[in-house]
Amino acid sequence: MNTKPAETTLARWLDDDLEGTELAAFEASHAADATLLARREESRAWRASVAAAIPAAIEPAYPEFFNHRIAKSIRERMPKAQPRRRAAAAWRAWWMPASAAAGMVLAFWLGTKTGGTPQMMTLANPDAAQVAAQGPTVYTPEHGVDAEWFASPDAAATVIVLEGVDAIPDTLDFSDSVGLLSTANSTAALEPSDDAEVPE
Amino acid sequence: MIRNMIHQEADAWDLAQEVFIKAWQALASYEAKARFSTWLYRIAHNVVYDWTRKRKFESAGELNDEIFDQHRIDPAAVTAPGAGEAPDEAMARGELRAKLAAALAKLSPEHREVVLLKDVQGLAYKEIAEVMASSIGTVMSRLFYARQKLQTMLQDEYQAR
Repeated sequence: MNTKPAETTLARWLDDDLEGTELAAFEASHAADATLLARREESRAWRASVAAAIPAAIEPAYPEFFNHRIAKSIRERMPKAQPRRRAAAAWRAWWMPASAAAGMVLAFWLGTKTGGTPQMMTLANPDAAQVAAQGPTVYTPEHGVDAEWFASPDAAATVIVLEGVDAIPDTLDFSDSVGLLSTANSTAALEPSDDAEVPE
Repeated sequence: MIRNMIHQEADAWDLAQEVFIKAWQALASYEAKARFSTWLYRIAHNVVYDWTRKRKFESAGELNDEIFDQHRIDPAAVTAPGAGEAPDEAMARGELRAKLAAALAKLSPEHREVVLLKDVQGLAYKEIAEVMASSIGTVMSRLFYARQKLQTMLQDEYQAR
């Protein structure tokens, strides 16, 4: 009579893969086999050492941002529902595109006035270039804040418009944030030069 | 799983997002024949292999295993410190982790995946077969050879235990 277990059953038992009646049947005939028990312990030790060395799950560094990007992609891929027209909101039909266009024109004009010659940035990573071409992902951690962005490739400018941000209190001291800009140029701009007249 | 399969931090998170998006899109077609986690692993498997295939295609059909090693994540980088672990134990664990990750990276994607699904994620043979769209026999065979290769590469550490 052949008492050797089938190879597949043995492999499953060694990996603790057998359950219920299969497990009971196997253990009834092989539970006393010291060699098999030793092999199973070896298999368990191996799995334990691998599982201890390699984490099964890792939290993303910024879970909210991770989830936000998923939700955004799902929204973008969803077929857009036809908005219902309301008579009371008819002014929006011309007001919102007009204000958006005005904003873009303003951004373009500011870009031409304040910026130097636009410089082409060469991105070493082609994936990054692809991401840049798709536009920025705007993430607002506060609820109730809407963000829209407008880009003007000609002016090399991107304007991000935030709606719903709390008003900045008068007590906020901006000098701290100015202090962070400690580059040579900004320092030169803030401090009077030797030639400049100092008001008394 | 994805992070351990492709070893590229940024791409791994992008692919993980893609998995969740695909799962959401295909949710209506999910039938409770398999566990939800198995179904999700199946999607992850497809996403990773599509990505790998695309990368191979982009490199003019030349299989370059180095793409799995680019921007390698430091295997010793853990997100949470092990509570109560002595420094020498932590160092030994970190060394083993690094060697194991390096050895895993040398395996073929199929062998690597079967080890990750069985020994790290703890899936049953039947579930692994569903995820990898292969037979249980193939899964067993792949796991046997993958473990054998890993243990050969990690012989010193394995014998010391």
